[in-house]
Amino acid sequence: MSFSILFAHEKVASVEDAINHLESCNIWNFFDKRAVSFFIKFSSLLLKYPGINQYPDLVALAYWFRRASIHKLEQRYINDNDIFRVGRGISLHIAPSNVDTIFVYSFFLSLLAGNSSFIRVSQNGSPQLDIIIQLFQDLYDAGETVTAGRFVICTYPHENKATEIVSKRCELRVIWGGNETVETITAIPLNPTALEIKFPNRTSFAAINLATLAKTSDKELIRLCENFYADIKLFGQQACSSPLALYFVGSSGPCEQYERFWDFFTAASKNYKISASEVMDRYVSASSMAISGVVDRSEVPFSHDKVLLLNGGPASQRSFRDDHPGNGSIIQFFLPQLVDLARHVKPEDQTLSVYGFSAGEVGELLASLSNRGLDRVVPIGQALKFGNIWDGIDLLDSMSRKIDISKVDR
Amino acid sequence: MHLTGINIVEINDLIEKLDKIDLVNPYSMTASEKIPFLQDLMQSLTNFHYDNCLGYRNFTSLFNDFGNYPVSMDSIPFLPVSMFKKHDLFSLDQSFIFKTLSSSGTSGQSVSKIHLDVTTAKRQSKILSSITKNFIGDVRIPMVIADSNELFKDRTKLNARAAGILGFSVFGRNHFYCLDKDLNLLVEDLIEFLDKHRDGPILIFGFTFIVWQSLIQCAIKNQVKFDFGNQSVLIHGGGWKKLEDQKVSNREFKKALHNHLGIERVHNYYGMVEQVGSVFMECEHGYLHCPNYAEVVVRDPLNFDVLPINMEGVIQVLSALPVSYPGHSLLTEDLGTVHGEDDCGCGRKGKYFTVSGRMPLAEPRGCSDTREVKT
Repeated sequence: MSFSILFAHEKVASVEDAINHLESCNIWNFFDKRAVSFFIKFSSLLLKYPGINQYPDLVALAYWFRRASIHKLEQRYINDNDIFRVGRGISLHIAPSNVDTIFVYSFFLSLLAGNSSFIRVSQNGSPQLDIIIQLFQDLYDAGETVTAGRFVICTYPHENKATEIVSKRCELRVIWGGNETVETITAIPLNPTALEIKFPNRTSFAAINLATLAKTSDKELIRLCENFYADIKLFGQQACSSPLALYFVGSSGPCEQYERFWDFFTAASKNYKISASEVMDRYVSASSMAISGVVDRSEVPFSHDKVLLLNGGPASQRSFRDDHPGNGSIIQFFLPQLVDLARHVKPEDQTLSVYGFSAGEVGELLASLSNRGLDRVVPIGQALKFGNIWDGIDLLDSMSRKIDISKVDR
Repeated sequence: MHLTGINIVEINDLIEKLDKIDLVNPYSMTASEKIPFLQDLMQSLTNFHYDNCLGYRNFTSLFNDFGNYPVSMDSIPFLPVSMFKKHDLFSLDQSFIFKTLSSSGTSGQSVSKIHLDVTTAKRQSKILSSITKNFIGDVRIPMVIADSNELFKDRTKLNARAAGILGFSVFGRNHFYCLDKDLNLLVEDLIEFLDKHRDGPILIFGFTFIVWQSLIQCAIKNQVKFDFGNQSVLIHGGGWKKLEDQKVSNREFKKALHNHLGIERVHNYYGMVEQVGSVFMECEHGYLHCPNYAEVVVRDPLNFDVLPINMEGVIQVLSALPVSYPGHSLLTEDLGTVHGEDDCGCGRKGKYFTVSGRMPLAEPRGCSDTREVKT
């Protein structure tokens, strides 16, 4: 397969066209009204799309760009009178292969920052991508050509020259998609004035306070388990933010509360199903982790209709991050206190989802971190919810340019 | 990765049992004889590797009922065959390593490393010999090897192809490697060899895909027939994946051998570098056969439950031969079907089965695309 355009202004038929056209679009102001209005229309069309509820990731996307959410987001940036924010220019987005909505967040934020966007999506395709492209086309056909003309979505093999051509003339390059993609793309020369934002492989996990669990009503516990299950299920537990391990925190160790949690979790995950290939993948990884001593017991049989629960083994040279297959496997560990987690955090760790801890306990943990690990702490159930601060980077802040006006008389 | 020291009594006991293996007829045992015999060996091997290989001992922790004997063949833990690519698993002291086999693995993929001690290697040769003779007879006959002798430049590190050729080459004489280093057929040399030996049987050995690509395709392209004579016999193995990609079935493969090489007797074998020796050879009726000291179990790929006869599932292979490394019970990623036991038309006892292909790779679904699937 070669270069193919999935969505663009009608004048655009090639990479060269695209880059010339995007340059002619000029930069816009931060939170330009035209961009905001386009997103609101997109969000409402998406929410009304027939059958949208079978795609929780699209529903989340639609909610993210509702009028109220965008307005709330804008409020965080408008109080600084020492700077004037504008776009940088053309932004290039290399989207991840299998999380279909990330690219929309990435280039929508870039448009809000004032940039135009060239987006390369994976060649795999998906129903979600088809829906998104169709809505852009509908909006364009309905006359929304100004904002819709500010982005070009295309797909092509990584060896295609397109990335090279755009990289020479863009002012921002955003790379999603794991270490290998980051390495491949960063090797391609970038316009010297351009900024690069990279999102390599990350790992995430969850922690539950056993003491709080003891006071949790059945009703709340059911909700907690459903939330945790939702975090595991989305994207086959293979997104950077998907929790791979679960730390039970409390001085008592495994106890009645812990049994109670797994009973409710089993009920919450009763409709779980993976394919034969995924069962094999999961078994191979679990075996590898067992051999290296990362896990030392399987609590649940390997059947395709179960979320696999593995018991974290004593210290091992390798970590669960190396071999974890996703596909519904949880490795459980026990810790006396949340602050003890600090010494298990690795630089690549991203999201910690929590249940039942006080702000003080979380603060104590964060103050004890000794490397770049941990970029988000969220309640269990929100692990995969996108945030404008991602991997420790404020995206709007980085994607826009700040003109220093602090010394000018006003 | 071995533990405190080898238990000499344990290993001697095991070797004594293995030495009692019947080499004259590898397909002599009916289920009622074979099950107690093999189960006992399997249990001894499991205990031995558990005691002597830390990685294996760790692995068995995944099986919650492990150690709650009496053991049955089905309850022996099945190690994914790919573990030998990721981990160095050895059950003897490093000083016993006599040679290390590696899988042929296409470029970029990691390869299996199988460490053998002298006695394991010898036992493998003996068993392979006993199986092969059952199909081609005792007499060493002229042999064509469908490969290049360039493979043997470094004899200390043998890949699966080279190991296979060395293993089988003892059954022939006047060995002729009929391909050059780029796997092109040495046409004139082959014709000369055939002219000289065609009156009697010739043994041909090669990897399935190489036989197809370098021998059969060469004959088709040049519109010639290389006449091996109807007494000749081909033994081939290594898997069907590449031929499946080209939509070539075993039946078409055999037909092409008949039409273009005049070969009537064809035996495919199913085996792997992780269990060298106890290969599963295809009989005259087209079924792969389990010898006395090996077994296949077909499992449901959704939950690993044992499947009954005639149901397709993922293949587990058991072999009594691996002593130096914990490869006695392996879960492959191949799909197959057991068709019966003790009653194959060819007269051989034991289970007989077919292999239908490989399980498809799981699609990665995360933000990362670092696996072999390119986007």
